[in-house]
Amino acid sequence: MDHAGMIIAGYAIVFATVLGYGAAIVARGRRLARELGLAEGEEPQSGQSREDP
Amino acid sequence: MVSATKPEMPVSPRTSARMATSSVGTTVLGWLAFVSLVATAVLGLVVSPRDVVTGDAVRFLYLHVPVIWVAYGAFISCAIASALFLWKGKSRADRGRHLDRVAGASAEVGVVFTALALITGAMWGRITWGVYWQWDARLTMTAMMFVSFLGYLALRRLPTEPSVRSKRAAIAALVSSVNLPLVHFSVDWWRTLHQEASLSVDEAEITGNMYSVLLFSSVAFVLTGIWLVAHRYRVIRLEEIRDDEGLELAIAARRAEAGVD
Amino acid sequence: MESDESSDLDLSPRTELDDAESIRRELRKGRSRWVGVVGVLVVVALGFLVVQFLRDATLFFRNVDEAVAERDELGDRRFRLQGRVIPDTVEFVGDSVVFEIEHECAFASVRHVGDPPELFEKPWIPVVLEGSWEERDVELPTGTDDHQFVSDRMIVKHTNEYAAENSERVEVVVPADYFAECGIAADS
Repeated sequence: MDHAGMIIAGYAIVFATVLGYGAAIVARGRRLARELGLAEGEEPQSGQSREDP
Repeated sequence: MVSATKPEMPVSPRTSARMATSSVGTTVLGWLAFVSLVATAVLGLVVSPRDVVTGDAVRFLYLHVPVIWVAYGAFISCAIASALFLWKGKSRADRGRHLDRVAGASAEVGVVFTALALITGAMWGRITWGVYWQWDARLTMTAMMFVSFLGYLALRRLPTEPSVRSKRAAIAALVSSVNLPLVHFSVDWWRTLHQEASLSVDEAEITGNMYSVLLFSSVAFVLTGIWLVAHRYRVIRLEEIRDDEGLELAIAARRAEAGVD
Repeated sequence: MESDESSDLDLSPRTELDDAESIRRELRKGRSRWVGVVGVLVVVALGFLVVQFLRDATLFFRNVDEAVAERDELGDRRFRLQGRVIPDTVEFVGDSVVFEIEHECAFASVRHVGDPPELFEKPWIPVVLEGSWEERDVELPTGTDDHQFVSDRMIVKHTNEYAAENSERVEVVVPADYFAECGIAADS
């Protein structure tokens, strides 16, 4: 592959940003839910969010 | 998103818990988005053939184009929600807070994806044009769009009364949205280094597998964008509940103080 | 607003201080509305100015035919020139590369100082060059010309056409009989 470094870096940046951003949002949502006393066990759905690697 | 039109207060803890991080719908959507993103990487990096002129650089097509589409879509969603907020917000049961959240969540996702479009565009440009950046109309306009929605997000963070903030933000969103047609049509209105729109309705200038891969990756990124907006929306909602509760606690504390005296 | 004020006065539980405060708030609200209107106008005006500015300034490049037509006005001014590189005219001379470009059957000779981008080698690739006209006699498909474009910056302007490398689609975007269409013998 020509310019393999640049191309792979491009894919890495995009996927890392999207996954990182998604994970950060989910984490923030869970933290807020805990803070507000909306425990995750209270509602079976709430813990099943997509796990971001 | 489901309980969109429900009035805000009082929020039952049960509803909020479900709203906290996910629902069945967004879980399915999230996994779909994730799997299709992985597939996009494989299709873009391995399956797609090399372009006859630009060689492997065409692999940036499957990132750059879908990513800016998500940004467009997010900003359009922000603009529509803001316009509806200004127009109908007051007459709604929730005083337009749902619309305000949609606008805020969409704008943030839009800004993130515009940043990605600028970064991938620069890398792609370095390979095909020979330069990372050039102040031509398309690139300049995109930078302006990025900056103005960044300003919009900053405005949303200014500490003021929520209703004042939402109104200001909505106006700022509409003003920033002027950038959208400027960015999109800049390649037609001015001479630019940037190429024309990649997928025009009348003529397919991208052939065979490349076209299919581009369509697939577009679907993947659009799913991802919707998922992100939905979750960002929920976080905004939780933040509002937290702020409201904080305010109520403060008021209760003061009342107690006054009562004791 | 007046009626509000009078009704406020009629309903007397408010103290004078509260009244002053409410009036101030009322005034502030009015003012902030004006600030908003002016703000929007300013932004719209700014947008208009930027658009106007760009209309002039992003005559981002001149095509070969325009650059040739405006040669007298341009003089030795720097500008950007756009055209397609004619295959088989590319010649590396020392640290520079000499070649011919065309647009709409107008031709120009170019001397570019420095390394051209990688894709420059592709046939009929459109390029944007930054530099100025210099007096020099050169041979073009249309005959002799007394000017050559000397550039020190080259950007490849790729089109929105993509095709798989091994597809049957021919890579030459401009037809091979292009010179004939321009009314020029195809020998050069």
